[in-house]
Amino acid sequence: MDKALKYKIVVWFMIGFLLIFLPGAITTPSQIQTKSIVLGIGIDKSESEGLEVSAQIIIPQQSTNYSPKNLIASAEGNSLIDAIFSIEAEIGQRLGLAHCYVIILSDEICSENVPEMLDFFIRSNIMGNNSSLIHTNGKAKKLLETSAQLSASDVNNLQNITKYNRENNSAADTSFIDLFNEYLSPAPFSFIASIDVEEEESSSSEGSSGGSSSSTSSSSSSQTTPPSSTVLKNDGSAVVFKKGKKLLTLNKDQVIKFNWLNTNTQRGILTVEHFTNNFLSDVNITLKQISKSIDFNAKIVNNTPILKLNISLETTLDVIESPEGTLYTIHHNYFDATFRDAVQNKVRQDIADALTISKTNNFDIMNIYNIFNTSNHDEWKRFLSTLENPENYMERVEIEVNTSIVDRK
Amino acid sequence: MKILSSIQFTFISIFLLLSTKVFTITPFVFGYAGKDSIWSMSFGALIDFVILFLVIIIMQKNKGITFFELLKKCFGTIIAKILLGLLFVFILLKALFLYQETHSFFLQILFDEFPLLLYVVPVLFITGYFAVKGIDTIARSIEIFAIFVLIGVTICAATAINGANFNYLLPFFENGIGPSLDGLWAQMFYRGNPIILLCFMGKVEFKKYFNIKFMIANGILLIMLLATALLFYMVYGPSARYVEFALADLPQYDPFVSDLGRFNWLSVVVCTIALFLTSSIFLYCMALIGRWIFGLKRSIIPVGISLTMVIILALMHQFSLPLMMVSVANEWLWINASVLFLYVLLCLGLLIFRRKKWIKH
Repeated sequence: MDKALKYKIVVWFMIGFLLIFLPGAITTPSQIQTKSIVLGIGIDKSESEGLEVSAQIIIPQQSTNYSPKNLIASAEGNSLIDAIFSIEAEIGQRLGLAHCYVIILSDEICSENVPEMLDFFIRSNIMGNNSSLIHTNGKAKKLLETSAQLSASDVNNLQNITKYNRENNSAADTSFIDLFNEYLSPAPFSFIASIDVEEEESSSSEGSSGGSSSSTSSSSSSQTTPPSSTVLKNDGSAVVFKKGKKLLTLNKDQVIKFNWLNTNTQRGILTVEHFTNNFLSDVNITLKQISKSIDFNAKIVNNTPILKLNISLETTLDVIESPEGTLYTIHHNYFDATFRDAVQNKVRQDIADALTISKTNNFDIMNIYNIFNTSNHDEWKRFLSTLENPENYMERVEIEVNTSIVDRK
Repeated sequence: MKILSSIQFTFISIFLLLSTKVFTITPFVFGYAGKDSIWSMSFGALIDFVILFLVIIIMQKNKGITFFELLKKCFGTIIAKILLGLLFVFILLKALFLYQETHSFFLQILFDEFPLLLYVVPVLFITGYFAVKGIDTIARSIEIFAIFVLIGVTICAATAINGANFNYLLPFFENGIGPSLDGLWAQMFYRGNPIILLCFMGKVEFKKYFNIKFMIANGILLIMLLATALLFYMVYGPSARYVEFALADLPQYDPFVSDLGRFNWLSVVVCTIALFLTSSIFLYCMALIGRWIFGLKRSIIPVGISLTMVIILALMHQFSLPLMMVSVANEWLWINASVLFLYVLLCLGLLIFRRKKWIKH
């Protein structure tokens, strides 16, 4: 050995380091054998009034194409951590939740305090903060199984749907961390998208399975395969949560009305029905909303909270439908003062409907509490102190809407 | 005596400010100050800035002599050694926390299972090796990596900007100034790093307008750190208290960024470099103080003793960040705040002493 090299401490360190860790490196099993990768979690109520937790697990396998094996494992427990430990015992691996992109909650579970139930996930930091929350009317396990059947190349897989919901479709953009933020805020209301499983009569979806799917449960290891004709149904409906519990379900049309006040949803469709001007007669005009910006101006006048909204829309014309089937050309101008008024009336009506729903059910999904609390803090506190029940502040709120629309042809 | 260029010294200062401020301090302060945390952080940054100013003025007014020599001149050898001993404890606790922070960061972000020895042996060896090689090696490495680290921190923070909601911070001071002051007190363990720069006294090349440039560079960094903290509070809102590593969690907030999966790695690379090099600075300073106190010529013995102390203290805390956070919130906070207060008084005293001397002459 070269003399200079002989005395190099780094070289001796490296040799020592390798020798110390060599036995461990050779004998320790690879992590993939001891830990599984979970893509989704489903939570149902068990028959014993505890929790039934299901996990969609991918098992990487050697192949010329990437088609991981999907496994749905489920177990019951008194709490989330109890059920998760049972799943781990069942499959003989620890659950790795860092890649879990969705947590599905069954309708029964949503009637309990969900943030308290999910407390383990947020405290233990074992799950990514941006996992989406989804409500389902049926069993969460079934939704997870259906999702597992669909490969990434299938159009309506759950991952694509949750991404789509976040970006465009609805106000239902609640991620795991958002739910906690809303729950800990003074107005603890949040939206969660509702997705269901639908049985398809035709056999068109038979070829959609990208990987094999199997299921195990704590009570038995029998494998069941869900019907291949089940598909995911994302109809745009959402569930409103108040103080961590489900309050009511909003259908797609109602969600769209609430979306006018949601700054996150940029894209959408706006239809003005039975519109007439100098060129057009009794037509339905559908516009594609490209972008939206909202300015809030909150004031309390005579002990009445008034929220003034300036909504600026950028749209393009999608379609003009005439009941008589008249074909209108580009020369038939639809975009005039009458049309702007019609859009304004449409938006006002939608927001008025949304406000009525909010007042009737006493929830504040529009975050009105926070808007007033942050902009007119002292006045808002004074206003609340005048109410017999401060939680019923929504009854007194009024909203004034002003819209401006830009047509991007 | 090895001389640090003004740029190298500025980058060392930046690393000292940066490395202990990007991970646990932001969620930790939130536990005390809630949504007023950004004000606590601003007050804390102001304290760091003022200390930095005091330190740089003292260094400039006492060119050519080391900090130990200055203390000996002012207070005699015994008191000088006691003061240095306190500074050693101050740095030791910070170094220990930084080592543990790095270990926990690896555990959470990189590996689910991470054998302790596999972390302890190479990390202590590398930082120890850097410390023995000397400050010029550390400074040169920092000079090379600093720009990349700063760009990386900026990118990691910026990835979450879509989720920022300023309303989480409003209204300001809803419960008065009390929570902000609680948050300010709680972060005192993390503050006062510029005091460590006194160890480099007599080794820095002071060019024209260096003071101003140095303060501007560090001021920009403190603003950048505040902006990162602000973004973190705006993104995570009330859930900020549950997050462990602020900078590591920011790139994971946005689902689209997270799906890409590239920025997590950026945070890993950035933080690894910053934490390793800052740990090396801490270790070098501890060794230097050891040499001053015991009159040693070579660094290897004090570096070895410092590393042994780090390992013993870490073992006492079972190499667990939550256990160390308990110590931070209790006794370590008091120790660091006391040393910091003493050194701020000392710096002020040294400045006044010099000023009187000038008047005499």
